[in-house]
Amino acid sequence: MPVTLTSLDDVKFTVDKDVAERSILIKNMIEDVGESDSPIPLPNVSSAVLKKVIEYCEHHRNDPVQVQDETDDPRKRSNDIEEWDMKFMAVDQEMLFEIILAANYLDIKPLLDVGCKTVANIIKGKTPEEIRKTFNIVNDFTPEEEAQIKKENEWAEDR
Amino acid sequence: MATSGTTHALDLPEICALIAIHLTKAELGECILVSHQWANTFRPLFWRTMLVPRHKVALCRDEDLARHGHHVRILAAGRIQQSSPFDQASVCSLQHLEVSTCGSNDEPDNGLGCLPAIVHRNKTSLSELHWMCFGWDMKLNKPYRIWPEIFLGLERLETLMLSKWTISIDDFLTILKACPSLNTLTFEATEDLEDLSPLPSNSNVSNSNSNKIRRGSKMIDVSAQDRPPLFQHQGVHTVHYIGHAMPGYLRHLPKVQTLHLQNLTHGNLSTIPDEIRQYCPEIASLHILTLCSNPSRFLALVDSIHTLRSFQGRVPSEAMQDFLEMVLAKHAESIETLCLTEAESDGLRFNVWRFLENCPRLTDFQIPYKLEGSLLEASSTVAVPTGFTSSYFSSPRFLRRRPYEPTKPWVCQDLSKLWLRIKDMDIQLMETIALDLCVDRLIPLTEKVPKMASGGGSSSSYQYQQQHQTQGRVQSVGSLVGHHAHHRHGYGHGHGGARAHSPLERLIVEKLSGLKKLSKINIGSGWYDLPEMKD
Repeated sequence: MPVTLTSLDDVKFTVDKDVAERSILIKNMIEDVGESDSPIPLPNVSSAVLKKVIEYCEHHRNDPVQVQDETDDPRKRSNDIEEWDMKFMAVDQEMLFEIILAANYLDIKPLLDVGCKTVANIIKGKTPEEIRKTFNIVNDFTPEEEAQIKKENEWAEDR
Repeated sequence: MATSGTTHALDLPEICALIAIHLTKAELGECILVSHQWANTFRPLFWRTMLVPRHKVALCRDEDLARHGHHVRILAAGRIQQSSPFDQASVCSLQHLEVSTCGSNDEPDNGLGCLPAIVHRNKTSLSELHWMCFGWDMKLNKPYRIWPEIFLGLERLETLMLSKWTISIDDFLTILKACPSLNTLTFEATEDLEDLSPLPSNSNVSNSNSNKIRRGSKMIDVSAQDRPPLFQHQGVHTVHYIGHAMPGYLRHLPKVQTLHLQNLTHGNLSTIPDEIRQYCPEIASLHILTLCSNPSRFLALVDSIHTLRSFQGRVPSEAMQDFLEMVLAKHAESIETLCLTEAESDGLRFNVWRFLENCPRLTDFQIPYKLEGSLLEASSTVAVPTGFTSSYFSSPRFLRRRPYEPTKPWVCQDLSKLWLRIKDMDIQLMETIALDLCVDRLIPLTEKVPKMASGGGSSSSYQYQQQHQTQGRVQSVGSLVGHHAHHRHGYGHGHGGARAHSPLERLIVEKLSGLKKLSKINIGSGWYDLPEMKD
């Protein structure tokens, strides 16, 4: 059963229902609307991003649905990002953050997790200056403020 | 970070929180130093969890906590004494608190220091408390007595762990009444003050209408109207006893579903079975990680459970046979998890296949014993020579092996985790079975060839590995199979793997491949993750 999704810039995408329903938002919309051929509007997602999201959902269409467990610590789950996901996430920064936003809006938890893990991996191991360079951020701290924060961080670190 | 009016992902706190989960504290510290906006975003996440080792408490700076203490949600504050850097107005939103205090009979505050102030300040948000006491009360000759008033007002408290305390029944009731949201209780090296257990009876069935209770060294008659009405907490569903059990308190916890017993001194189960039988009908999960000094008390404990869903832990070897029979007889319909830890039991002669035939809800089955792979029965054809009694000839040496034949199909269709170690099975064969199961999963139904007869299956599995090179994640398994098959081809037919499979071994493979939900298996050569069945 195909479902039609319309992006922000009015591009229509037709996908199978089970693929579309990897998005909990879309799944709920379908349930509310019932059997209908009218396309589902997604005004928050541009066509370029929606294309990528659909690609992800199609590849993962057979994955078991993750059971929501409040005590589930994501760090305890496998830390390895699958090879396919890693290649999928190898996009420019702007697209990466757009995908994360879209996954958040569409409520696709696995995609959101992978996106956030990818950003975390970018941040890991970098000094503040290196992080600024990566994300194009201006340093707006005075030297005194920096010194203050460094002192605070010192004793508060993990045992 | 936002570009021209649109929202950037890093502007959303929930997304930053998800990113921060994967970052260490040190990395979060670096993020704070990037810019003011990043500092505002990541600082709450940095300060959220404070695990301060005891030797570092002295380094905690009051002024930093005054500024950022309101971000702290999870705090391990070390030892609390007269003062603590965490005793300040900003630290008022704690959800999780771990502390220790030094007991004292001499101090006016009983050694509690500023802890009551801290707890009181956080009483609306506190949901988990771990409280340990250092010291030994010389007067009581027990750990120090707890101060239950500290719990007043802790309406959100759900999880409580108390270590090295003495708790009287009144103390316990004060705590239960003060904390209606409690659901998990852990008592470590914690003792009750009075012994309120009913008189121990000689029979296995507890004498529940005992009218005598013991106070100190005397027996006191308590008639029905003198006994206060029994207060029962309706929320607690999990109880851990570590080091020391306090069975008498179970009567106030009728909703307990899970009971953990760990490292009990002298392996003493005391009157736990009797309390459960009378007061705790809902217990369905047992974790027993303790030696048991008395196997019959162990069996009484299992017997006291009304409907057993999960058993994990250690079974005394003398009780093993009876334990397994009891579970099969009483709980075959309900048992979901049966995981027994390592123990010496070579003499075990139990047909473990009966679990797979009779327990439809079984999902996790781990018995790491060396089991006989087949039934043993007394041989009726051995003639008893004159002068010897026949019992001598029923001893294990004279029992003849009869191959296992399935009396019923396996009903445990939801089985997902299985660990059996079968005696006398060739190691290579164990590996083959596991790998053949993996291959079986990779092949779509339409492409399956007839099951291997004897050793010939290895070549077909190698071919299928070639066809399925493109399968991303499962490629590693496929290549492992291919390598294995190739390896065995190299050795030719003389090697063990090429010998004909015994009926038992063929049967195991056939039965195991029928378990569609099986995802982890260990039949003696290590754990294998099985890929999902292809439709």
